Amino acid sequence: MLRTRLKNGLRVIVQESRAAPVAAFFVFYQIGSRQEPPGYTGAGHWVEHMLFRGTAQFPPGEFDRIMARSGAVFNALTSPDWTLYYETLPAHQLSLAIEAESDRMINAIFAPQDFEAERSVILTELEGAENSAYWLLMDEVRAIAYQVHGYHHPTIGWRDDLLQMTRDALYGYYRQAYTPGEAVIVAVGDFSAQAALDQIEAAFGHIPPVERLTPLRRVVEPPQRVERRVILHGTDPTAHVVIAFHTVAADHADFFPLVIMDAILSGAKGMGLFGGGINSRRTRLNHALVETEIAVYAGTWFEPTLDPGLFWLNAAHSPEIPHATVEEALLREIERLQNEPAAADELARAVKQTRAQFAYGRESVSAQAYWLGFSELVADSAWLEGWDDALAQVTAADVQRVAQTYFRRENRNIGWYVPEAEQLENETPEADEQAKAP
Amino acid sequence: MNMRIPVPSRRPMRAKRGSLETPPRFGHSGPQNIIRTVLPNGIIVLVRENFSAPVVCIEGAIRCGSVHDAWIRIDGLAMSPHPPGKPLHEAKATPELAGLADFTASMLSRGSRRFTKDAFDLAVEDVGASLGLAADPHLTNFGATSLAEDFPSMLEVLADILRFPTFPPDQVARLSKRRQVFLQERDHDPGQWAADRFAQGIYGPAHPYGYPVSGRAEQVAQIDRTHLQQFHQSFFTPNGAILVVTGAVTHTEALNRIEAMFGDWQGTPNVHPLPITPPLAADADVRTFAQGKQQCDLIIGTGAPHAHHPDYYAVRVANTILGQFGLMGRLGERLREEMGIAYYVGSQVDTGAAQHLLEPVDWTRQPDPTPHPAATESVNTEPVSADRQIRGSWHAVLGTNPEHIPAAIEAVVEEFRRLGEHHVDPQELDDAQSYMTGILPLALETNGGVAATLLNIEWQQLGADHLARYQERIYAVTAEDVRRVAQTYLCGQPLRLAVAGPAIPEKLPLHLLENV
Repeated sequence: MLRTRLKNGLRVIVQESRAAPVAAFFVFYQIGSRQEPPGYTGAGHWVEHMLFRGTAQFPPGEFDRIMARSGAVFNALTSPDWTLYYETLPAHQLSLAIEAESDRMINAIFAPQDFEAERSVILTELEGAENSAYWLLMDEVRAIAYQVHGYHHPTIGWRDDLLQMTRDALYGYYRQAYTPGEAVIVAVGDFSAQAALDQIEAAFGHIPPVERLTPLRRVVEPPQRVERRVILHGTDPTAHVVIAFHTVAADHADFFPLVIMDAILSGAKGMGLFGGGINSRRTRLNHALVETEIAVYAGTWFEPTLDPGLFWLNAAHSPEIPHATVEEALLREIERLQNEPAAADELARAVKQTRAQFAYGRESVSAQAYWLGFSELVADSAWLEGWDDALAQVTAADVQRVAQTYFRRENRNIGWYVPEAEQLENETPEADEQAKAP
Repeated sequence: MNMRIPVPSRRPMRAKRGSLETPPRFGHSGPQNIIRTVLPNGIIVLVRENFSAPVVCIEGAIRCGSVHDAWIRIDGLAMSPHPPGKPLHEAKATPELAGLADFTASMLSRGSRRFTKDAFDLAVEDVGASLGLAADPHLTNFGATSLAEDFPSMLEVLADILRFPTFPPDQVARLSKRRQVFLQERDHDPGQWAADRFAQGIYGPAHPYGYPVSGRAEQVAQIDRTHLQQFHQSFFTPNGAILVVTGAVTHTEALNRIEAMFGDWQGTPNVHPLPITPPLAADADVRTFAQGKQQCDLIIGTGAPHAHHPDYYAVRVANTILGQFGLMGRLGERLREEMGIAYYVGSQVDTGAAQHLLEPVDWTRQPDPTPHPAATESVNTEPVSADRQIRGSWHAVLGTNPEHIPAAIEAVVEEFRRLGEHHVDPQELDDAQSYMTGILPLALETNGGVAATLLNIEWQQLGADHLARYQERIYAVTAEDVRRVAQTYLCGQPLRLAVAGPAIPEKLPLHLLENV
């Protein structure tokens, strides 16, 4: 593996992988929706769309055409923390990806008519997501959990901001955000690492660094002082309870005990884009909620984030089961972890599953590129290289400690999704409070 | 269902269904590295060694699926699905126990002779493996991924659950309730509703391609333990079962272990009875959601040929041009890039089984992997609907705001016509062919990708040389072929529309479904 930083600040990681005649080229920008100011939410995601609308060198449609012709799988993604452009393609076509990505780092056109067409496309994308009550509930809970930090708003943006955005404002956002200093490039595949690095340097090395007009400030979400709740009504038929606790960023020492806690509660996850599900019935939430027929599904989710993120629990009710019952059952499993250390075999299983998931998820060049780039963004290469050791060192006492530290009443955000046909009588949060005050 | 923070992307990341694309190269190892063996009981075993990572992937299938749902009666008796020489039959209504095959598959991991549900969970989860099962119309598919050291125990588990499930009553009741809740939720998804109704419109409600493999909540509620036992007893057979192993295990070891676990299993082959499809008719299914939805999902299309039909490769190339290439082909260019009315739009071809796959084949006597002769037939220009045996659909899918629905329908039908009336530009044709062949190494990068590809080739009887000939077949398609198949299928047959969502306009341009 070769790793370097060019003079313009661009970080480059190149790794040979000779198992198959393919290559992955990933360009991460350390710009996500969390940095978008009020009134401009959704800007990062919109820019991501505009980067497929052409440059002088690759007129509209041409990027798609040459990539598809070459046999590439390509797309782009915007998250709260980062924006990613990627191509996975036959290894001998790597230079195409390098050339096209260096071009659109600075040369995207943002033609007014394309900008307007994308406004309409993105509104349609938003409406599609809003068809799901579950998606809306997640949105609401995230919004009450974060009152100051940019994780408050959805990555796609608030509808009104999307309606108000101007072409020039969006173009300005692009020119400030898409700079070599904000980018991490990763190439993994069946090629000579040195040759690939030389090519990348030739294509990107001349791009000048850009100084931000307004330096970005790292916004800190103030500690939550009180439990927050939200109730969403809708017509989708299955009731849900969602609970989110504030925790830590990926580079915090407590990150790994939280990963293991997640696995103990509902099984190891793939983490990131390339994880797959594994069997997870021997887990605490499955025993406590699904086997007892309180819920048809119960799970947890915890993912690495640049700023302190949320640890989520959720459950989809079995028919006729009240929200309070499901919520209590979820919280009882948290209390168990707070009150008694996990058994040795349970801990060992969680560690082995998590390590296996990590191994399976890195089989393809795309997954390897993703993890190399992602770890560079959230922490540094040591974070990725130390993953296995860090997991192996987690003790039952660590898990108990993080359960006690972060899963406090005043640190939680609870959302209920209530199908319209259901009666809310005797089922208000206030009534529940009396029923289960600790 | 998981809790990931939604990550918007420029291209909708939807799973494709029913793709039969099969790539030409197996990484650097080459197809010569794959060894195919047929056991005396008819199990077809394919093994490909790959020691690049300490992982083994198993993919396999038993030749039974939702085509067999109709053959278990509600009183628990099995009817004969073997009308001699007649794999096609008349049927009007969805089977009373629709969803039985998939329910059976889901029950296998919940109790078997040696592995109670808890023992199964212990055996799989404690080693960080994954093992899953699900049915499709013709196959009960299973797959397991584990570290190489756990391959023997995964085979042991698989053999026991496939051969000796016990269907514990409490587990049946529990799973039934869960499935019903998920199916009710599914029915409330406009995209899912449109897809279900479109399929029903093409194939008819009695056809296994025309109703969901999972069945509907009211049908699942009727399935009891007796039905599951009877289904397993009637249709789970080693004869023709396929087992693909790829990863860090030698050919010899894999074969020896499979023989030890499965060698004494005996059974006869299944026929795959399909109902005759109703005549294609220009018609629309519309469902308006009164509240809670923002976007409409729409499907419009018609019947298409199966993978052994002489038009098959021309249809695939034409479909790539229509709604796949680059950012979803011509449809993406028109409805998304130009009109800006759809975030997701594209087209797809879903294909079912060719006629020869419906007939019972005794694999204890036919170990030869030669492709079925139907694969090499050359002349047949009849539309697929002529003999009322539709085995595939070719359709556009999109999501849009309700106010844009009429314009979207008009634009889609216009693109159908453009493809059927004018020759595609040579460059556009070459682009599509280059994409379809160039993308294939990616599908064969991982053990899972190789295993899934081998399984499909074996099931479809595409022949051992299929991958080698794929490129030649794609490049053999001419501009006239593309025009002709678009004219034959998209323009020459009635179109079917399904649309669901909020505030659907009362006046839709349904006259366009009659076609030209």
